[in-house]
Amino acid sequence: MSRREPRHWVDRRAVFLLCSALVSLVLVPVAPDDLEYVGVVLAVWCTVLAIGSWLDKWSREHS
Amino acid sequence: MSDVLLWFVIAVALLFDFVNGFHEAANSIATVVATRVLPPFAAVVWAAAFNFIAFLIFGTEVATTIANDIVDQDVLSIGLIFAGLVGAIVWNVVTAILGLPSSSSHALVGGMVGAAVAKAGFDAIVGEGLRQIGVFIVYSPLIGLVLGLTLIIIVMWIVHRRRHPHRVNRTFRVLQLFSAAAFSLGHGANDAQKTMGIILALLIAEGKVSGDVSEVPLWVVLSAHTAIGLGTLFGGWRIVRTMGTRLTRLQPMSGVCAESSAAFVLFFTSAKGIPVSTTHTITGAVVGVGSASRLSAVRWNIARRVVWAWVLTIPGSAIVAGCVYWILAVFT
Repeated sequence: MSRREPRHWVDRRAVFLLCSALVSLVLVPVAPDDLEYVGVVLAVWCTVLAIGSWLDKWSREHS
Repeated sequence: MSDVLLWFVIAVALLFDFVNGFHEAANSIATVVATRVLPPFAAVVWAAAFNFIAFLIFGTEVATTIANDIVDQDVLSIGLIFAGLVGAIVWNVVTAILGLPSSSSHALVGGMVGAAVAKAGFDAIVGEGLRQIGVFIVYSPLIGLVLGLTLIIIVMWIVHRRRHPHRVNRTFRVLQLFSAAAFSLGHGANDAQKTMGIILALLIAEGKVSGDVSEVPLWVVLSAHTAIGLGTLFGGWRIVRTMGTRLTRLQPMSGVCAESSAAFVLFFTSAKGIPVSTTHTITGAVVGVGSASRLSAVRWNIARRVVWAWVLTIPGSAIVAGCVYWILAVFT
């Protein structure tokens, strides 16, 4: 018999990715000038993945 | 006497490189062996060969960063570099005993910093170089993570439209050979260059090459790649069960995505001259791939230990190296 996953009201993966985006942004001012874009791209990318993750969870719950 | 000391410390640096290959071989071959794409010996030879030929593809930017951008060149000496190496080695041994997945790269940087501070105070540190390394301690696993997650989503989307799971599985088993080769190339490029940087710093300290050198002597390049390749050859035999199976269980498809993502990060950072931890990079990629199914697929207790290793390695190895430098200073 398979064990059921506990139900989480918040999408933990989306929260994790948003925290990663925040960390990436916080480090942008500290990064060397020629590599500042890395943090910005990473933050945007994490945010897009977080939104995708949340939409995935929402669509599963409402289908 | 000075030349004997110089060659002794170069030998210690190459030993450090050998041990690096020995420890981290499993990162490249774990999934290939676990999925029986190659038998262990062939997988180890495969990884070692790509470790070695990395010098033909990548420059020596990481080596020059290690030699020029961590410690002020006026402070460099054989004693300082030896203390830094000993600090890194001791830290690696202690964390290995404690089971912390420490990064030998960060330990090396921490060791150099600690020995330099013990010798000449905080003014001996090159802030710009250290800042770059510090930022990429966080960025490199994060890039691996988001790349791994993105790649696995794309691949799963493509694969689920096909109706031949056996053919898909066979394709990814073959692709694993290439992703493992790419990761081994990145590992060889980034990690062997750290030893090159240490040897270059030694040569600069002894006046054997000029301080503004941007090209690393060929014998240094070849010896560093040989040491890491041999380390991989000997270490891979013993260590097969590692990140690939411990952090989250990888299938051929997820193995390809994780290794390709980590390889991309190592190629990028090697080209930019940024020393990063190959272990932390592949860990980030494995977590990213594992979290595609669900976040609980990742064994977070191991991921948490990696984060602790992030936090502790540089200060820890710096303290050990500083103490080693002071002890050496008392006896010399």
